[in-house]
Amino acid sequence: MKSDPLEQLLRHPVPRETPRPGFETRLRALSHHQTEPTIQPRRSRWWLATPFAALTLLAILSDSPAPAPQASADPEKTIPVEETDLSLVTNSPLHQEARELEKDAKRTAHFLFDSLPSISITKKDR
Amino acid sequence: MPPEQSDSDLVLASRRGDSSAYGELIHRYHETIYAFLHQLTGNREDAEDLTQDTFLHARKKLATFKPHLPFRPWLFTIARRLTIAHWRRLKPTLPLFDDDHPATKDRTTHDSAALWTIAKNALKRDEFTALWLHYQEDLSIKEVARVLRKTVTHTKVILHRTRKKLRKELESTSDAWLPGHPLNLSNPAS
Repeated sequence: MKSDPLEQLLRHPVPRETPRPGFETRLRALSHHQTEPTIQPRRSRWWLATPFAALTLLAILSDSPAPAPQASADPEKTIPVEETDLSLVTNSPLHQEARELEKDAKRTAHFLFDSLPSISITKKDR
Repeated sequence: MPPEQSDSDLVLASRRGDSSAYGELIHRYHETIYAFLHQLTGNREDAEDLTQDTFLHARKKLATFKPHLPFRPWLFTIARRLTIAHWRRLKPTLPLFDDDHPATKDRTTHDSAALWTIAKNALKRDEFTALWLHYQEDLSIKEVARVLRKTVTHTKVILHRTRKKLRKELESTSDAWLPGHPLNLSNPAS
């Protein structure tokens, strides 16, 4: 089969433009540079934590409780805690108020029972 | 590195981070890609910049390349796409090829270089690309189709119409186009 003369001419190698000298080297260098690891050395950022550390230290120092008195091992000096506590509780205004409220409630209840004839509480029943 | 290493071996080595393997691929194809881009752009600076971009882009996208496919058409695909992007950045009125090119005017320079210059001026970009890749770069029609992102049938049609168009162009410009070759411009097949 006879080939087309135009195709023969198209296949004929033409003089080609070549890149300038050093182009390949530049291309290789660029390519190599592109693939180099881009991991940078880690920067130390210790100073970021400094203010927080200082604040934490201040908070700990200011919140620390006063040194507690040491319990004496002497049994004579021990306070009778139970009695003291009871007397304090019975004499406290809150306790008195509670007792008064309880009395009021009892009185009200008796009044109500007395006012209802069917279930009135007579002195005999008591 | 043994010189007989195939392209796919070099690609796989490059993927593993072997810079010398990719350097070998650059060595093999940078002139081919440059010549192709010089044909398309018509100037040295653009051709160099685009060649550089092609190889850098290829390096970046090497993981997406399928090693069982030929490497050279893939490079041509990237080069062509980058050239299209380059043209888009230029003014739309800017002509692709220079009509005042000396070889165009001096059509008595009867050689294949002049034929290609005429082709550049007469053909559309895809037509010229298909013709160049098929005849000058010896790419198969299937490979040309892959570069142009067209079907094989469509590429065959493009090549057929392009030859016809070029033949008409030559007939209109010269009676005896190549004295060295008794060029009968009528297609023997037709």
